[in-house]
Amino acid sequence: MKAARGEAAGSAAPGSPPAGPAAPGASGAPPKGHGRRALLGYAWALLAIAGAWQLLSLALGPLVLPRPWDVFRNFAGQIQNPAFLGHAAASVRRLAAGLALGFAFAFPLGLAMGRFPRLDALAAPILFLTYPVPKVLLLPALLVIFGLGEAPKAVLLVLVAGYQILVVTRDAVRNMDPRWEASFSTLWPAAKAARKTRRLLALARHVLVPCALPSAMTALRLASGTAVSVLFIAESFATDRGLGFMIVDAWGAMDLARRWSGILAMGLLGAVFFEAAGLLERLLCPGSRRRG
Amino acid sequence: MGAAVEASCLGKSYGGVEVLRGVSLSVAAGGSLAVVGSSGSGKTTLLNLLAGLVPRGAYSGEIRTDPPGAGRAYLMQDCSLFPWKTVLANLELPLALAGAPKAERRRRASAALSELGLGSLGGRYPQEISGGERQRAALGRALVTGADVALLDEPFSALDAIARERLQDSVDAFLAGRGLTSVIATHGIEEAARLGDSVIVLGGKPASVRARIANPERRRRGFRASAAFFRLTLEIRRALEEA
Repeated sequence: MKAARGEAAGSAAPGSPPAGPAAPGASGAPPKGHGRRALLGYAWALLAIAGAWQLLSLALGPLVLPRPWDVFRNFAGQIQNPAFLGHAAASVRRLAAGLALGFAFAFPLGLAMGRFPRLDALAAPILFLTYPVPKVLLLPALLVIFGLGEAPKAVLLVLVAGYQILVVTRDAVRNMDPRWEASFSTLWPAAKAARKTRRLLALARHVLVPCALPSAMTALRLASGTAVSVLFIAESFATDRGLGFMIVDAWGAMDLARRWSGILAMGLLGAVFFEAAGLLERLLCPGSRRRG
Repeated sequence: MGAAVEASCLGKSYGGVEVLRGVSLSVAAGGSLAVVGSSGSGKTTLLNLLAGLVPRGAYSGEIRTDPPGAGRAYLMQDCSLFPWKTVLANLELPLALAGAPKAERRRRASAALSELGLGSLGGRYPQEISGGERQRAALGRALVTGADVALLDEPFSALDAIARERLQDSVDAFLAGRGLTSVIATHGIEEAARLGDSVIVLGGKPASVRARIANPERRRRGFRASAAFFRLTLEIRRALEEA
């Protein structure tokens, strides 16, 4: 067959019909120069924040807000300090475990709620009633239930990340373009004879998961920011490790530069997880047009 | 090789609203039938029934193929290639669902792409190729498992006029080359005249067959520019207006 020429290229994101021009880098690979642009963006952001910080420091005085240069110098020293690196490693472990477990629980549950109206009718009201509750308020109860170890912090982070991923995944499945499922059904004439479980698993693998994953990954990126904030509070209680503990400890010792180094480290930690989630999204959702 | 398709007295209702009543049709093995009607005239419903997407108890009437149980491939409107899979992976999917081993899937999907003139586009995503290329890839996906009957629901409606005519020719040649039986739903009068060995006109509420028009000269060289073609389009137009 000869190729028909003069046809306009189109593009489609999961859940929407194919239309419009193809996005650059619409395949799995990030757009050319993406890494360099991202680094330049962060360099600009650091300069802008440092400028505003310097002005605020001049206005408030260094006892309230230390000068950025002093904090950067302290931070450069801290990252060679094994104790600081230990605190940072503990925070990274908690954050990674909380986000991963949150995703592992929430994504399948969101798929199931989006797919099965009866399950959704039972679970959605519970979800909507508990979603707005600030999860950090549960920390004292979690400490009582799970003890003083890592478990209550992990559960808190799982709740914080999981709720966001759950709501978004459920909605992504519910709002999925019905054409995808109809299209899938035309490809498998033997589906009617196949077991129901096998049919459902095939549908989940080839349609539901790819449709919902880009939205869930975006929720994961947003959750990573929220989780850093909650991590600070979780590490303020019943632990002697983590950046949150270090910040509170430096606060008590009136060590302003160390305290702000910890705050800077937490900000960087959030940015790294945000970018890592974006990278994961590009790897797992190669046909998606969502780009960080 | 294609299979003959026969349907008698098909009827379908959605939520108490009757959308299709008493539709009968017959297509010879290797032949083509164009189903023409305005938007909402029940063409897609008819193709859904012929494709076997509607459970047996959910419609009235009979659908038979000769030989019985012939494979049916359905190309939906807007083609619906999955944008999260490459073109090649889209073509491999029906084979995977049918349980074909990985090497065979790759071989058959690649062969189908080459046959459709898309051999170099297997690694692209559907949103990175043109509308016509997507349509051909979707046709390849529908037929890669070796169906006997092709059901095409407004397959060219999203294309511009020139691309549509070229694709009509190439798809027609592809189906004829394989000896496949085809049923093509369209709202285009010229498209129906160009692609159907016979044409049925759907109309009314609920939709029923308002006219049956034979098109014996369709495969004659130069048919599209002939007086017979224009007479046929006038006849279809009149039937549509009266429907």
